Amino acid sequence: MNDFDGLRAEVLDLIDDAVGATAADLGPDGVDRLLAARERLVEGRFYIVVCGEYKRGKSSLINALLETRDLCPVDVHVATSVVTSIGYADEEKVVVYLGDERTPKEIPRARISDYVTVAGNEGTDKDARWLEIGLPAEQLSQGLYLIDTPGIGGLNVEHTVVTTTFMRNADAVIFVGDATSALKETEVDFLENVVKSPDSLIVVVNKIDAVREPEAVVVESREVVASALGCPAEQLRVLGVSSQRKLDGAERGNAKLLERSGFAELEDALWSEIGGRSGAIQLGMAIGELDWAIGGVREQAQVELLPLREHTDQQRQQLEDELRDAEARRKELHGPKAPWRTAVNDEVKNGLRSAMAVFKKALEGVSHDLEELRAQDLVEPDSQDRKELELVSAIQVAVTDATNGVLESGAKALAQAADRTQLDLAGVDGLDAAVERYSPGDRQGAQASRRRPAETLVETYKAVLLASSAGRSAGRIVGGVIGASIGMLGGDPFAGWDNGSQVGARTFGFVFGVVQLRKKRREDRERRGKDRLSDLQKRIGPELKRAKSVTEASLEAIAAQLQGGIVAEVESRISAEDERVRTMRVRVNEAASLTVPEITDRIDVLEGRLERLDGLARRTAALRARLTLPSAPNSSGANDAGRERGLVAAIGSTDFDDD
Amino acid sequence: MVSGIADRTGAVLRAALDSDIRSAGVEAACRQGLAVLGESMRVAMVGQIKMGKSTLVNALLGGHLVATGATELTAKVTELRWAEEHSPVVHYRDDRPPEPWPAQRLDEVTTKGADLALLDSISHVVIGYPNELLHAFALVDSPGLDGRLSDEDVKRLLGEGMSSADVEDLQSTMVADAESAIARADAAVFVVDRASIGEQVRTLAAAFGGVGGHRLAGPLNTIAIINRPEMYWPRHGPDPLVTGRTIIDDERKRYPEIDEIFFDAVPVCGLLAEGAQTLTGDHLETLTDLAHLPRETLEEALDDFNFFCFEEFDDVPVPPERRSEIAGRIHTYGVHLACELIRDGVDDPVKLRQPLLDASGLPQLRTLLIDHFGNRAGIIKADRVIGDVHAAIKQVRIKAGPNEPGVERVAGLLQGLETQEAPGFRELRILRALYNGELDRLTPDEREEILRVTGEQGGSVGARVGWIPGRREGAPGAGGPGQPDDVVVALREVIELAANRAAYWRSKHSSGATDPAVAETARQVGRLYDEVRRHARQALDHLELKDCSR
Repeated sequence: MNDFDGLRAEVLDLIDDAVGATAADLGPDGVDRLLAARERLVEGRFYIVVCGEYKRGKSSLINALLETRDLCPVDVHVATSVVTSIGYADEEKVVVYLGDERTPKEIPRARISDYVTVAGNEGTDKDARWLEIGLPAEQLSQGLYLIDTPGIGGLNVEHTVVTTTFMRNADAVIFVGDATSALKETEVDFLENVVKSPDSLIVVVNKIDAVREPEAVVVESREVVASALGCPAEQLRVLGVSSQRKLDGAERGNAKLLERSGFAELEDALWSEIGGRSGAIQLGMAIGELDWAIGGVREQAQVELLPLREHTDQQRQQLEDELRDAEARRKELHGPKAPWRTAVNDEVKNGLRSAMAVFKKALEGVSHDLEELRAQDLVEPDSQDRKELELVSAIQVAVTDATNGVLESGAKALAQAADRTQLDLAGVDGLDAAVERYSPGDRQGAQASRRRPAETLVETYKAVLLASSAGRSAGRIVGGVIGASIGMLGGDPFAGWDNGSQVGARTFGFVFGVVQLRKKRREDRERRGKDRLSDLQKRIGPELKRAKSVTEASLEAIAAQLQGGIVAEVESRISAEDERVRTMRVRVNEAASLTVPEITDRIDVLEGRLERLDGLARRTAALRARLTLPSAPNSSGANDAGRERGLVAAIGSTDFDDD
Repeated sequence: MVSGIADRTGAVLRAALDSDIRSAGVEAACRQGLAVLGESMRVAMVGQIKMGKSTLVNALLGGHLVATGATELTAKVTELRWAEEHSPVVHYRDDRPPEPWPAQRLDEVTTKGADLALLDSISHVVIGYPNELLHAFALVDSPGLDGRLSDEDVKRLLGEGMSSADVEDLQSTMVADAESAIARADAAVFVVDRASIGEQVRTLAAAFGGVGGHRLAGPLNTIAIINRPEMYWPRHGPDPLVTGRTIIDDERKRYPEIDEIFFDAVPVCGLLAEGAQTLTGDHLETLTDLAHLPRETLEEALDDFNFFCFEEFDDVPVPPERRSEIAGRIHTYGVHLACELIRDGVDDPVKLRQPLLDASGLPQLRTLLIDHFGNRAGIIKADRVIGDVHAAIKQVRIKAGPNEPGVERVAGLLQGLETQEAPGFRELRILRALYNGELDRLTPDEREEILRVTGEQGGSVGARVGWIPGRREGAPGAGGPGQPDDVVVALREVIELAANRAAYWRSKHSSGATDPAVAETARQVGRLYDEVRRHARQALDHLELKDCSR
């Protein structure tokens, strides 16, 4: 079991225990929140994009990871031309999305190569866009999705665009190189221009079985990649592996082959990458939710204990009043005119407006470039290809930026709502640990992350948004754009999805449209000779218009969806808090009519519960501390098990004393 | 016929130089062109670093002439020319005269382990060597195009007291030298990695389409080698050459550019090719020990190259050092082949050589080089020279328009030259049309025929019409080759073949081929067959005349 898996299993256990211990006091809304957190954690999907040059052994690497020889076609004379996703399923199922058809076609595994390879797919009427494989493989059972991409290449627009789209939203990227030949310029360019950052990147040097000194190739690859990405070489994960040894070892039960395949190290790196980033966020979310539930119920018990121990009617009354006030404040928060609603509304609206403006400007830039190109009349096909790549990427970047802008405004809105409601929305505390773990600037430990600049705060809330139910309702943005890209490639099989994914779908659809046009034009050119650039203008022009209108419509829709999701999230939190405070007040009230023996019993019950809750809180703190590892091993001081929550702190200022 | 085009081009350039050109650029291009025509053809090995260019050069010439190996890289441009004996000469950047250099000290001047001051002062190295191939053309081995020193090399150089600025300098000098060597070359062999051939071809085409003003990226003067296909052995098929060709064919489907840029792309196992020619008795001993193992045991040990070199196997008594040595020399694929041969009774390293070479694909590459470059040297050089002068003229016209009478006179001379109804130029025009993709409507057989009649398989009249001795029924074999009777019969057959083919192409021309390029080419091909027929007729007349006079 890897690091992340172990942590996740413990968090799931803890949630189960916490539900058992708190259900009676938390109320249905609060329990729902815990169960939702559990479900998110169980359902967590991690997208691992596998990319690299043709014939470097991407497909054989995936086969070796899954210990199945014939899943991805690996014949030397075929090359994958279609994106393939591989995820867990109870029974093996392979479906292919063809052309514009909406329903996928189920095919047997043996026919995969007829659809995904260049030889099988091109020049036929199959036109496969996307292949989805469900596999009952243990390695995938924890939510891993492997995305096999077509080979990259310096000037291969189609494949580079496809791969780029997927990479932007990956939880980890595996770049596959080959020990039998040095990294080529096209590969270095790809790393420099597409991968860009060493974050979440794992460089794999495959085929170490085929050379005399694989270590030298690993060392050299590390240096070359480091200089391409402009980062220190030590910061990179570069691993030599042998798919051949892994597959043979698994088949023959040969431990030496398995050990010398390097795959154990690869899997470790993969999970620690996931555990360190996306996984950490998911775990952090769940821990935040646990904090809230355990801390909240603990507070209830503490508050209830106060009048039971002190007996003074006046003090009890004072406490009840405090609680009633608190309840009233919550009521205000529910109201249609609550300031946080306006804040969320304004924030999202402004965000949408500026995102639209940025998008419009970017498209104008592209139009301008097109005009300029046209003025140059006949352009060499080569430079035309290059120009086209630039234009397509520019549009793609514009759409992604705009979508991101809207998403960012959602994060700001969530931060605003947290500020106005004084609620810890979506467990920011738990996320601190996650943020510490993966944000390089904050590696100094808890101290630094306590005083985060506004920018980091927005990042944190964006992470919250991505992982929270608000984010999910606004379009499953965790992996959403990947899902959306999947959708478009497969002729929109997820048409039922809501708008978040559709933005991605349309973006990708546009990119895909241009790519198709390009392909057609190349064929035309082959048939009737040279081609004029004005054709490009003629064809891209309308596409540009279409992209503009669908993207704008989608941005509006996603903003609306996002706003609704945030409001629902805040309301759910307010309701859960309401319930909790109401229960407290009722219990405090009831305490007045208890007999002395009943009071003794009740104190026993509550103290026993507090003990259990303290135990749960300690476990939560310990998990949070482990989540923060390895970057900040001793940062748990600030998150001590019994840390008081706002309400108790407020009540503490009355005459009651906690102990 | 072939030498004709070079002579005529030279005559035109001399005429141009005699006139008042009044453009330094155009004049220099003409002078340079004359020099090129006077020298033997240069074929450059081009490719990224560590693609095995030097290994291929050594393999082609059958000796360890230029440095190879993981860290010993070519740092200096090395030109290999024909000479009676192995005779390296170092050329300096300054005024020093070229200096003969002992062969055993060559590594000092061609690899990066060398003394830096010395290395810096050298412009290039010319190695004379008695190999047949160098009769056809000179081979140029160049540093890698990406000019990327490996990290190891950089560390070593820095460790040897070189400053990082000097390392940078060395890198840029290497690239500059490689580029100018390629610019001077008449033809090129591009060594490409077996992965993503098509992508590399696109990149190369973009980079070399315009080097030195002439195109070094077209089928007339470039071929590609797909190096190290043996890496696919044994998992992807028993014969790496077959696997390699399958890959190339697949890439061709996706990248039609491959055929637009290269005359052909062929797989060659460079390491095996070089190693096969340098096998010693010690190697044979290792191989024999291995051949005595049960076949299954050996094949299993060979399956993992890395393990074969370093692992202890209980059932393989040959120690890893010896295994590593032989695998490093001829690859595990070569070990497998050699052991099969030894089992069949071969017991001499010299006798292992030819079958191993055949399996490496090297002889096929040699034939291709001689056919395509050697036989067309005149056309290739004339094409290049004309292209260079055109480029210089274009430069003048961009600046001043077509208003320079001296320059326009040269342009007129060139135009007259290119449209000459003379062999050579006719061939050039036909080939240009073919390689520009204007003749795609012709059948593959017709295109093949065009290559043949323009001299692909040799410039003799027989080679051009595809005459095969004794093919015809009743052809007399008694006289034996070279006997006058036999030659007379052969010439008659050639004349008849040429006449038939000329008629075929003329009818293709007049049957109104709608495509003007096809129609024009058909006419030219018809004329070319007429030329062949006339030459054969003259030869026959000459023989018969001699016969009469006897």
